[in-house]
Amino acid sequence: MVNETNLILVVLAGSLFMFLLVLVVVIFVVTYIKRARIKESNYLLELKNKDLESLREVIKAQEEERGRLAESLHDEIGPLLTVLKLNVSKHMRALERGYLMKEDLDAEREFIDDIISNTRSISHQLKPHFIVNNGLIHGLRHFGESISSFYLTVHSQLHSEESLNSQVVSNCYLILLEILNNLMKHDQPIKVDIYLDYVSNGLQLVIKHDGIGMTMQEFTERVEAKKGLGLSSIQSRLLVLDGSIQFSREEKKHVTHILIPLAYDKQN
Amino acid sequence: MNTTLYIFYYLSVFSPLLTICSFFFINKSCSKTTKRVVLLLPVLSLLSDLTSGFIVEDESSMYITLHLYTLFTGLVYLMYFTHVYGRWRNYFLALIFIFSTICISEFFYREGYQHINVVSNTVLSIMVFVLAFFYFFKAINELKYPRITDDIHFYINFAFLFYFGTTFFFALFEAYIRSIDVEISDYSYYVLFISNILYNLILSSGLWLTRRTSY
Repeated sequence: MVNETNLILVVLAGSLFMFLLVLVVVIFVVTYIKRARIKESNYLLELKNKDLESLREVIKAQEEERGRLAESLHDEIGPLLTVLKLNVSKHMRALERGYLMKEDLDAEREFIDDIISNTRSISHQLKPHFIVNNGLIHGLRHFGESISSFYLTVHSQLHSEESLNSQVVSNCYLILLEILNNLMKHDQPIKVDIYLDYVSNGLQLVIKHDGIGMTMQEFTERVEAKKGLGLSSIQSRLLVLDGSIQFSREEKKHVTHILIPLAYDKQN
Repeated sequence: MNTTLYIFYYLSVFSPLLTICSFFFINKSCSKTTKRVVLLLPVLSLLSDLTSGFIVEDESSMYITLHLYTLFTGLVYLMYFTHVYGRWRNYFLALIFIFSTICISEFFYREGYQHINVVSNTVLSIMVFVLAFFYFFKAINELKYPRITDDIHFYINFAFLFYFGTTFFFALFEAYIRSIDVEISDYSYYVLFISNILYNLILSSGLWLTRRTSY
């Protein structure tokens, strides 16, 4: 009788053990699904925040550019047009009195040429049509000819720029322009070399110079501290292109590597 | 064997055919090792039943087969786990060496090939049970897939956990049950056959359910 009871206990314990094993697996599956859902929602939230951050950066960059444009129009074009208006009034009075000279009008024509040149310069900064029409390399070489602070040489391995869309070209140009402006203002280089090439995962822009230079940490700190409009603009444009920037030092030269994924270009 | 036990025995013997048939639905993206193991598992299960059946009929002549079968089964399972836990490959190679040494030692030295290989069988059951349990622990920490039920390894390890857990539990009490009544000890074979049928059901349903998953 005792033996039979013990046997029943063993069989019961065995069945309970089998049931517990199944229960453990069921609990595992439920917990797993819950945790996987939490992980997925966290990932989506992170992705959403990243997108929002990118959007915020882009809007900020647009605002900054608008501010810069307004400032340029206010400080450069506005006063010139006011002077032009005063001069035209003066010349009208002179015309009424009959002593308007041809030399006076020649001076005004030169003055108008200056205004046109300034307007072109602002328009160029806002949307580099010249670059879109003539290409990145041509634009950079043209920019190199117009500056006297350092010698700029552009080395290009790009056989064709046709595969790049206009947004990539203009953003790359504006990024390089910001970097060159910063070099002019802060780094005092004598020679600057720009290398453009296609690499397996995108378009690579390399800037080598013998000036003071900057480290990756300094760049990040300045961008985070919102010091310098130019650096923020570079960061925003890189965000738009999904690109990356790296600073290093090679053979006594400061090197800036920029990589723009071609996937971005294909998507757009 | 009584008639009911014979029915369960044949159901258990033929249950691997279900897994073998389901093998044709195996996901094409499964690795070659997984495919080989999934095909070997029902074969091993079939061998296990045949060996058990022959032991019931004629105990003494089947012990050598049982010894060899345990070694072969252990090596297949360990190869499978080496593939699943790729990062710890060296530890698994050491485990394969240790397990082979235990099996060979038991065959030649301990009680020899004239007796049932209790030690290597127990080591095999504990080892596979622990490693299968570890799979669940690893899976919940890594959360690699959105739904674990889409992973074929989940079903394989669930089947291992169930089969080896159950057989090990009853193996522990087998001597006690035999001591009460030899006739009643036949009931432990019921457990073995039922767990084998369920093992193959879990594997075949796993193959069917994961046939279209992308990983």
